[in-house]
Amino acid sequence: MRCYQCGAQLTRSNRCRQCGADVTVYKKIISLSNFYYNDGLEQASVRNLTGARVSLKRSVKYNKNNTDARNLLGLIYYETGDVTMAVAQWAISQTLQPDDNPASRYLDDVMGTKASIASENRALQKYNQAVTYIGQGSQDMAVIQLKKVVSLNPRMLPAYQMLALLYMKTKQYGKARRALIAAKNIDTNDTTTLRYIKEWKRNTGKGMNRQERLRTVTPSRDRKVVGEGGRKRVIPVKRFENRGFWTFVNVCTGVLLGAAIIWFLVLPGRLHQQEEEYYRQLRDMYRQQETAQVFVTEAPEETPAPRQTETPDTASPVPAETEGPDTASSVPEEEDAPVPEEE
Amino acid sequence: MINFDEELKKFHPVTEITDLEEVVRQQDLTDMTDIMRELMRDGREPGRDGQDS
Repeated sequence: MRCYQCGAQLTRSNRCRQCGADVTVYKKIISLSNFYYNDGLEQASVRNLTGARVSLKRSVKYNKNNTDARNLLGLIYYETGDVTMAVAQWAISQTLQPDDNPASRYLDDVMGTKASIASENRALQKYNQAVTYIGQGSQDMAVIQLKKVVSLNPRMLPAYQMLALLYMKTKQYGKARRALIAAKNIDTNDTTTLRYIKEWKRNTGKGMNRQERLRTVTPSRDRKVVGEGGRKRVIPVKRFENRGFWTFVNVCTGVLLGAAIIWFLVLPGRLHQQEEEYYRQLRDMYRQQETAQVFVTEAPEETPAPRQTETPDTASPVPAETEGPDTASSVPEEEDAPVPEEE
Repeated sequence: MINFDEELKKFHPVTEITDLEEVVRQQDLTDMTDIMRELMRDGREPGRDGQDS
């Protein structure tokens, strides 16, 4: 810490060793500036950019030479899409402390080239165009412009807020929810975002996330909280309820339904098949009978042979027995053996 | 209940980068140290009741 009058290094004494100036109040001012800087840093670390911005503004109001606070303030402006204010803070910081200042690096990254300047400015121009469209009543055109803005600069908080408002006005609550979640991720404590979220819940009757929906929909006796600290979750409790009577009723209903399906759909088909088989067999039998009858009626009749009378002349000669070679037998006939003559 | 039209009117145009100089010029860089110096220049030391001798 240096004396505000001569710039000499201060000690624990309440007077400057070099110029003798009373530095009691000055030390308190510097101390307060540092206190607000620490507070802003803590809030920024948990993404509470609204609270951090307030603390850091106070810090630089107490001590404008607190370049750490001013650089952080510029970063917060940059994170919420206000590039111009961010660059302004870094430029002032660099002017107050030209040497060994991270603001130089921030300025080089954002404003280093013409292309980067044009790119950053394009989103701001489109946002301003969207605001103009809303003033003219062309809200559809404003939505189109705002979509381009958030694609060019995903950190632009006012664009998400305006987009959510336009979606809620046209009852597009799903799209509004997405825009509000994006806005809340940028700055968790922005009052405008929180008001719009409250309005969204009021219009839809739902929670923004699963935890809130569980809390609003499920009765308290059916939920329990598990986990500790930031990891708390609300989960539904599984309960066993005796539903014996209704189970019995359901089973009986199922059985009756199955029986009815079989009676009205399956059984007639089976009966019809059996009847067809029976009739087919009957037809075959009749055909066989007809065929047998036809054979019986068409067989030729046998006529008896005429009777013959006997006369000598007319008697049919008895054919002489002729001896002929018996061709039927191969055994030679025995010839009569010659009788030997007696002497 | 939010009045959507009234809420939309609250959104104002943002300053573009081309107007950076104007933004820096408008910044009030007076801090508590400057106020204290001014008080001391007027002949009053901080911590005492402002009574003229």
